[in-house]
Amino acid sequence: MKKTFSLSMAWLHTWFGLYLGWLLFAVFLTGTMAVFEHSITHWMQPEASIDRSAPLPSFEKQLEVGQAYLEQHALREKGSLWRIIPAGERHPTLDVGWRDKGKNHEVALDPYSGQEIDIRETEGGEMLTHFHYTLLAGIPGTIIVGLAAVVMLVGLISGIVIHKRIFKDFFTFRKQSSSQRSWLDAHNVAGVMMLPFLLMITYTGLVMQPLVFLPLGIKAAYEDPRGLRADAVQSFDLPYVGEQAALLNISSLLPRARESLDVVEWVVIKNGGDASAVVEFYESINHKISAVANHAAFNGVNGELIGAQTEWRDSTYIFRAFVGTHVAVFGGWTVSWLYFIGGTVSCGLIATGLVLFTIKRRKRPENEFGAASGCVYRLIEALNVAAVMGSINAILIYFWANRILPADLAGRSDWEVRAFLFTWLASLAHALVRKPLAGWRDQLVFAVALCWLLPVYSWLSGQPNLLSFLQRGDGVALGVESTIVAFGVLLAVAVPKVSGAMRGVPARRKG
Amino acid sequence: MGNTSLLAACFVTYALAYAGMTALCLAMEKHYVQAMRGADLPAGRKKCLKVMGWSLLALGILSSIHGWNPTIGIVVWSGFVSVAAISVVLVLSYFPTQVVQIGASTLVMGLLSLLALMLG
Repeated sequence: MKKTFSLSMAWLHTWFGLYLGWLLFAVFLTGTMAVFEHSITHWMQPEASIDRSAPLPSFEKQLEVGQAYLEQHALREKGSLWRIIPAGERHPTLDVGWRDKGKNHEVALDPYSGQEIDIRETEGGEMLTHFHYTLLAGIPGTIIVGLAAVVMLVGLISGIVIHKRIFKDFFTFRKQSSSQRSWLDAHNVAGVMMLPFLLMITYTGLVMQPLVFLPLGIKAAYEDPRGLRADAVQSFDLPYVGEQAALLNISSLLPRARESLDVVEWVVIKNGGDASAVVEFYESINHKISAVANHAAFNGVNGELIGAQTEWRDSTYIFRAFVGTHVAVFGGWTVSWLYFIGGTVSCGLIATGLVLFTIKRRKRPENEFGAASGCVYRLIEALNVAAVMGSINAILIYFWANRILPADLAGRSDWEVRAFLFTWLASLAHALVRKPLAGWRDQLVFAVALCWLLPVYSWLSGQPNLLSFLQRGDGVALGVESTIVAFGVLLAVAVPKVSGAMRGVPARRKG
Repeated sequence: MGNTSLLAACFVTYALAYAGMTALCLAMEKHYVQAMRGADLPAGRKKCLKVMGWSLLALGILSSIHGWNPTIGIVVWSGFVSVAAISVVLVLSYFPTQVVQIGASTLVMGLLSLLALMLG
């Protein structure tokens, strides 16, 4: 019985892991990038990289600048949602925005001068986050990613069952052994060391989308699904009256907002310019795992405190704790980097799993597909290359497109996304044409070149680059670009190994 | 928390986790042999290494809770433990004979920084 059980688990792990591993790699890689989505967005808007050597103007001053801009430019109508997000450590520009016919209109201001910055049109890091949970295909995409996440959980549990020697082999990585052995060790070590992270990130990822995955429970309790949110988040809105009224100076409310809130991070003004204007201050959620933003609302005309929410329902705390542990807004750079490393190792886990499937069969074909096995294995090899190297190159090409496409091109951000998506197709086509190992090697070399030449290209084309980010003290953009270069180094390490395998030389043996 | 003390808190948490994982790794027969060029692992030392490993991990939790707060501290600590364990695996397979020295010096530096953090 036991033998059958672990054999059936192995079957489950192999096939589900293979078929969904292709998708999971892309989901995990874009998810890893999503940790730094705002940093990436900032890097993709080089115009917003301004000299930050002088200390930032105070929060109050920035609010005043933001308010003046909004009063002059923003739409004044029912439901126009004005926002001011002052610049800070992780947030290099003073951002203002409002809602225009259901769409968000965003403007970045120079926090020092208050001048509007003319930023190239890009979806930035948000596109990667969006891909991570929708595959850019809306609700059906979310359902597909959700299925993949369920399969990920199945893979983790079946992996624990078939591994068996979790504690005995806890530290075992036999790099000198046969290539299949080393790949398996790497796969096991990555899986075991990252198991807490993997279980957490996969589970919370699923739980985060109750409206998509568990709609019936909500439907049973609420007629309108928005009722759920209304029960969790207190609303202090005033009914729209349609009479013009001057908005008071928002920053004068700040001391009173700080009586109920800890660190104020951003401000929302509802019905700005109207007699029913409400100014709502939101607290930073940096210091807590449960991602609930306490808020305090004031009447925007007479400055009376309407209310503040600093207590939440237990269920809200728990749900937002799942969300918080998944999106990792808390804990500053430390936690972001730990999640980034965790995500990178998880990508390695998936990639080694995919490679193992083919390495095993290259050595000893199991002919699972009868007479067609040869062809199907060939296709699987190509899909592996496209899933792993295709995803990596797609993101790199997305970054390149951001720097190559003219800043004023019409529909520019769509072209960036197209470049991102078509890279996969090109990667698959290339992998089908080339022999498997040559496909891996070519695309690895290509990725390394993309990583290393990006700063060079930026420099040659007169765009901001590593050097200028350093001079301006723009640590966020500098961090993004140097991480890209460092990733090139990581990928470059793999190149000689693949080339060695092509010549049929086993990995270098010691002793 | 200032940048310096943040970096110090990160280093302490990582160093304690790394030293703890090294001790737990050396407490295993096959890795002890790898690291000590074939010497046998006496039963007493095995126990001692195990106790040391677990206590260092526990000390790491305390220091990260001190550096952040109970909830974030535990997340940060578990992240550093994973990263530390992976580093031990890499050191063990690429520099097996230096496992002990690297582990011991990380431990000393970690404890010194912990002391500096608590005093400063």
